[in-house]
Amino acid sequence: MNSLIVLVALALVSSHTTAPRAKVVQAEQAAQTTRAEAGIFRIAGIIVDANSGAPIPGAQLAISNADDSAETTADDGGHFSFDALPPGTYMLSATARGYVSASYDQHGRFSTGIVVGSGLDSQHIVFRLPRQGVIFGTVTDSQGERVRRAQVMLFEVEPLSGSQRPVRRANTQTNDLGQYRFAHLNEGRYYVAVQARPWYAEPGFTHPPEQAAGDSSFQDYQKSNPLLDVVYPVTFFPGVADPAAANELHITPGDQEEADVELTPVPSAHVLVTGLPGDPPNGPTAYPNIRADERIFGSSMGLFASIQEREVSPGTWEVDGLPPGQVTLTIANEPGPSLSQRTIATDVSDGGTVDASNASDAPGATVSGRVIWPAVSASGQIRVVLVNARLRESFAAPVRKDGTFSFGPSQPGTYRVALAANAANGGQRLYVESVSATGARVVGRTIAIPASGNVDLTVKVGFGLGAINGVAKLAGKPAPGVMILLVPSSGQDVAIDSRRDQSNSDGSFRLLNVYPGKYILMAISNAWNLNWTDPVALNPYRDKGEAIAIVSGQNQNITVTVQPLLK
Amino acid sequence: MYSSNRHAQFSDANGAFHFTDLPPGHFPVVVRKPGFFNDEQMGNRRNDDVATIPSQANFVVKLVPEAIILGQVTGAHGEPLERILVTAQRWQIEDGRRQLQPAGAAVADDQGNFRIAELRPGTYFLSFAPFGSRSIYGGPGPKKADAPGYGAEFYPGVADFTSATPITLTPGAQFQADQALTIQATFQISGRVVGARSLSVAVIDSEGEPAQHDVRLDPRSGEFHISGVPAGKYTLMARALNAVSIQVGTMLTSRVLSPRQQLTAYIPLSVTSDVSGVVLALAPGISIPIHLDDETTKDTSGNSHRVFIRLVPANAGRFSQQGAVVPGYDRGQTLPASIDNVVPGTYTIEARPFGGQFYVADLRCGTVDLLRDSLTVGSSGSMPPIDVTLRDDGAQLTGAVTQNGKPIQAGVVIYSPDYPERSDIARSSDNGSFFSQNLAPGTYEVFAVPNPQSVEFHNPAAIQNYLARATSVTLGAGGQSSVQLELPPTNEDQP
Repeated sequence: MNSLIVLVALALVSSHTTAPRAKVVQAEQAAQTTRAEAGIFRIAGIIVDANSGAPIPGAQLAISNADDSAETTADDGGHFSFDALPPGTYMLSATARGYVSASYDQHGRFSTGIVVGSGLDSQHIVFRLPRQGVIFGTVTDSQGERVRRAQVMLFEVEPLSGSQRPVRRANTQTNDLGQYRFAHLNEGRYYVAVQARPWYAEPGFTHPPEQAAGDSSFQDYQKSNPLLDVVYPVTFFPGVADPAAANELHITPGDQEEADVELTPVPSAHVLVTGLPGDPPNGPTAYPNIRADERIFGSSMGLFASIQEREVSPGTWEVDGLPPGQVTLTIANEPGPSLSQRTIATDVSDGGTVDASNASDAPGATVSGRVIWPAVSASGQIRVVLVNARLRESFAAPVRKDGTFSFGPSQPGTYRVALAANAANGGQRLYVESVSATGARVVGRTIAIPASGNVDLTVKVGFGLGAINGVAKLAGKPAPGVMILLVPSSGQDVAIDSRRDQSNSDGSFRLLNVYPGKYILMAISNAWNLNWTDPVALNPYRDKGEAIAIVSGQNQNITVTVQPLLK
Repeated sequence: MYSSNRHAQFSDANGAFHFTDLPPGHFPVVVRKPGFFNDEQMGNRRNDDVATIPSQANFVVKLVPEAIILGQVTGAHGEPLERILVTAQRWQIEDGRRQLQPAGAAVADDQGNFRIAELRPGTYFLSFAPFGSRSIYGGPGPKKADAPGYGAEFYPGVADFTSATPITLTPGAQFQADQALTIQATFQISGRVVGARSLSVAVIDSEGEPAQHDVRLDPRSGEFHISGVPAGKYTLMARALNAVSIQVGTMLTSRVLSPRQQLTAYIPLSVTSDVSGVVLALAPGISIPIHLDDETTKDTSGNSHRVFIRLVPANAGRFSQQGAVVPGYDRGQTLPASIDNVVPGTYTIEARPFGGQFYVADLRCGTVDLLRDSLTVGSSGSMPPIDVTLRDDGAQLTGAVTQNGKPIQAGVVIYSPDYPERSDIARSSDNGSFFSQNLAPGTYEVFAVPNPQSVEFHNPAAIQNYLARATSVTLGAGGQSSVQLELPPTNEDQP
């Protein structure tokens, strides 16, 4: 079962109108099914140490599905049970002091769902929980003093993704002794990075403000003091600013690794940002909001080092507090006729000037177009979304009544075209069938937006993605915990169009939101380390897979035979 | 060392520092170091931290070391508990009102350990509460027996704030506050919300904080089940989410708040066992219209005649502080203004004119004189408008504060026995002089205090001790008066 479905639903919950600490279930995205059926089934078993097999007393266990959730505590013998359950598929997860937090037979974002119902045995589960890894350490400065309130980030080389790119797993802050601690870690390869601001740092400016003619108000400004105008670059364990030089921490179950980080201050970089609108006559001061992001292991991360800005002359601002190196400045202007935002990537090591009005840095081509609807009526708000996979950014434009939409100027780059629709009214069953454009190159459902000009986009929308309900069998018997893989037979758009799952305790699996087309369905045991996105690695399995044509709006039932992993 | 040109350096291993080549003059000296508070951070502004050149030879700056509360949270069997939020709260006086405010917080790690640093000397209350949704609760489907769990507790292991033991910290103190949490019976609350499809339900505890429980809600029937609720007094709250949430403007914004009304419902609940069949009937949130009666006479064109209105909950809770800016005034007409979606409760109404030209001559809601009495907002029905009368014939009070005959920086409380809400505080400058204008005509008791943050000057009971040395001043409309005040040498920081 794919635990991501639950996570996505939670992520969609808007919490704007609720206090942050209140746990609130909102009706709009709540369950579709009723809880009418009286529960008579049971999930029960024993939770044991994955290594020694010894029971884990007092472990916390939880089950959840779209409708409900429950928690329980294992007894002194590690036994647990959830009683009086309605039939269904439940995600079972557990944690315990000294152990990881994991779902049952978890592999990345997949786990084996526990299916309860007539004739199914869900009462003899053995839940093997691996011991936790811990990474802890102390952050010190170049004087050897402890650094408090440092932000410590934990990155893990993503397992099973094939990309080997570290992704952020957790965040914490050092205490007054400069200490931090990450517990409940799974086996894996980790990096530790630290962001902090020297406690004595004070911003300062290098450009004196220009005095406007006739302006009698003396503008004092704080001059940069080299002793205090310093920053810590984002620093990786054991104390390097270059991620390529960072030490990897390999955690195995039960490991406790100490990773102390030493921070070294460097002079703060200064940048002049020009081309900003000056103050409107008689209006409030146009105060730009300037944010800086740095890319760490390929993902953008806000720098909390204090960014200070000061107007040097109308439309020109000095920005201080930047770490040297490549940063992305996001400059938002308010007030104004409308909020305008510019994103500029630049190397600030040697200071210099950034022209916020420069068209080559700022937004590129203007993107607009129309949607061609399928022969069904769709109601509710529907938006066309451009997803920049590389930058992990997306932009949305509402579709107007006449089917047109407009993005305005968009940053050059490669974007996937997608739809976002209200879950009500069946909007989630709409999908992008094809994309065509003038003024931009299109490959499949991906569009390359150029640096200038007008892009006229036509988005053909289909209704009703396909789905597969299946059972994985080995020697005629249901096979739980097997990797289920659906890849397009064409071998194209594999990363976007493929679907994966892990078979449940009764061998069942579900693949949802499948674009109509031709596919090959495979079930492979022990395949969680298989780099399936690599055509060469997958080739031996394709022949023994099932060829399937997915039809719009159809839900297919299929039985697939499990293949063993080839050595 | 601060001046128009800053000078900065680090002290050496002995704490010594040397600034050379300074021109003659007065230089405020500010010292910073993690783990210590300087005078300004302690809320003091004393004259001693100004170096006089050339006469200053050896200058000593004293820092106050931080205090720390640390400890371990354990469960019913002595096992460390993680993800427990530990909060240190203390009474603070802001704008003459006493409020319990968080001073620091930490989350217990996987070993149950926590450290709350950067605490100033003073008296604290420590609370422990499960962080996130870690409370244990019964399974789905047919209800099981009450599942036990951990609820909020105060140090040392008591359920409510009134029986909590205060922790008094001296400078540099490290206080070990280990706490074994007790497993409590928890209960379920169930019922139905009627009146909207898109809504949320939450449980608010007696401190006005959202309590963390698991809320399950069926969108179509409006049925809800809340589990894991320890015994106690709560308010059950439902809100329709299709209304736009509104950010409360700050004093500095001139934007008029005009929120769309939310659909809300509130039910007070005393939970001692399972509660079922609760019906939350959503109704438009309570709005209190604001009327501005402008009785100003002087030509003050260019000044906007605005008043900031704030609802201060009468209990110590931090929930539901609401405010509105009565809009910019163009002679002869006011734009409609209101405070919307008011949470039922009892409030003190604060009204502050902008612009420094006016005073609030009258403030009432129906028959309630809000300058004397608090306002109770029920859970249903409509509220009469709050009428604010603005005048510009305020009086002036000037004076000087001395201590042992020498001018001193101090706080000057201008207390109105007739209308405690009108009381105000002024600050004397280096030369001891102070100035307050736009005072409503009337009689005031005036006295000096060392620290403006130390006196609940809206509270008659807290003022009693000071009245013996207060100077009584009666001010007429447009009048002017002057007083000399002596600050007693005793340390009255904590009366």
